[in-house]
Amino acid sequence: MGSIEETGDEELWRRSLLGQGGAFGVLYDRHRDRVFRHAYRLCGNHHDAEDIMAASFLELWRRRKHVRMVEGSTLPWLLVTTTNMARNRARAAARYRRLLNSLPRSLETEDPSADPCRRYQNQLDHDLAQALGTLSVEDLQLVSLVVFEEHTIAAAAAVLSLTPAAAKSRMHRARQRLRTALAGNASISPPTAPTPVLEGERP
Amino acid sequence: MNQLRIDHLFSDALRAELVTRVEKASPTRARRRARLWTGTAVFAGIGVLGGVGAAADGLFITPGSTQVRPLASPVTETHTGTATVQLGPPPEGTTGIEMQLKCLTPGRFYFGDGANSICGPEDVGRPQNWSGYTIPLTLGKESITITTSPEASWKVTAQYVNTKTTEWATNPDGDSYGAQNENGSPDMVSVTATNGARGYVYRTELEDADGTAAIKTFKSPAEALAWQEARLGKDFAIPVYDVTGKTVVGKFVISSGAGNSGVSGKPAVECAGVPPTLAPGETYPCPGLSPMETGYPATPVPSIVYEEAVQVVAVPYPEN
Repeated sequence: MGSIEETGDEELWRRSLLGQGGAFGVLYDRHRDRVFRHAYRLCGNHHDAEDIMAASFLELWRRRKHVRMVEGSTLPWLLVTTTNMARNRARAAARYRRLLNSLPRSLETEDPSADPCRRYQNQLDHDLAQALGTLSVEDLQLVSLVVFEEHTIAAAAAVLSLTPAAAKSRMHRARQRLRTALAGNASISPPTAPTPVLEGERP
Repeated sequence: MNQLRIDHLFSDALRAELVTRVEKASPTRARRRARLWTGTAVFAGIGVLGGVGAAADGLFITPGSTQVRPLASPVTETHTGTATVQLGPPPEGTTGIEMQLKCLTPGRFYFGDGANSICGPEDVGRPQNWSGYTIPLTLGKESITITTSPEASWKVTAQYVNTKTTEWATNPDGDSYGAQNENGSPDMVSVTATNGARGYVYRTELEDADGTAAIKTFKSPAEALAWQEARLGKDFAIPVYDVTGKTVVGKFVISSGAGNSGVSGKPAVECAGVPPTLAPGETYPCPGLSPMETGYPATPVPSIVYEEAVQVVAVPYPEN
């Protein structure tokens, strides 16, 4: 048997359910950064993103009976949960508010607005977060999994309980909408751009 | 996003918290909590559902309660590291092996079927240093093996037992009465009223008051949570009758604030700490103890906690 760090998610998850905290810790180490990045993308705020990331892992455990492995990984489930948490920030964090407040934080007093580069970055992050905010939940879930986390449409469909075909067409519409929102002007790129559907005879 | 890093202090603390939560939920721990909780926590300090078979002298046996009868003298052995305790051939009528493990040093102790018990340094020498566990008898099994690390010391007391759930009784009006058990609830459920009197509450009234009735109507977790929220902190009292179902002898109060965490409750006085070693013929004094111990579904204490309670009472038990 290799070291625990090399163990697959499924095995770690099984051990976690047996009460082996260390296994859950490894799952945390493994997915923490991606979950955090995803949370950040959705809310554009460092502090909130940490809270959302934390809440997602706490949810992973609290809702352990409902967790679905996709392609042997807990990550898709985590990302979907993160998306839900981010969309519903106030309510989602409420459950863990006291715990989150009790966790220590470094006293980082740096002012992000002092650094022009950082400020620009923040603005970009904020814009993206806003654009993502225009998507419906289902679309946001899809975009998160497929575009940002590079899961296949099939895997995303599995975790979201969609058929691959439905996921594909939804994905297409979501891209359009996102493009529009980022451009900030619907007339430049209409939300209903022609869909490239092949209408010819089947081979 | 190159400055984008998680605050490591925050992250480390979160990680520690997650690890603790997972370890707290190990199967054996869940069992132990569920058992105590079954008897008291939902109704903490207010009243206790019956089922108490405090019947060594035959004073009062609640119909429908589970009687655990030890069939042989207990075997007690102390070991360090992994070891097997021989129990000898099972006597006639044995249905299971009941054991209590006491940790003498910190460590993790496996019961052989995946269930395990963790002892932290703070547990050693304290009342919480034991785990009770009953395994059904399997043919040819005459020993139990505890697996642990070489330096971990433990003491186990094990004995063959017979567990039997008695039948509910019926009063002249045709209503069944007795303790809740794995068969469900009788028409009149045995309880201890707030004034200490023993009696019965009507199942229908109990279900209305504790939310069992409402839970059946929920279509989504959100609905259930909203309902739970609305009840939070409120008390619901229902009358306790004598066995005829007509004379009120007290009241039974269900508090929706109590047991909300679904994690632990104050055990009934007689259940606190290390349980007494039973002599043959004696029965357990703790309500709800036996059904859980024998691996039946927990005594179905109606619960007001929508999700958490299911986790604890049902004791999800991962297969190996």
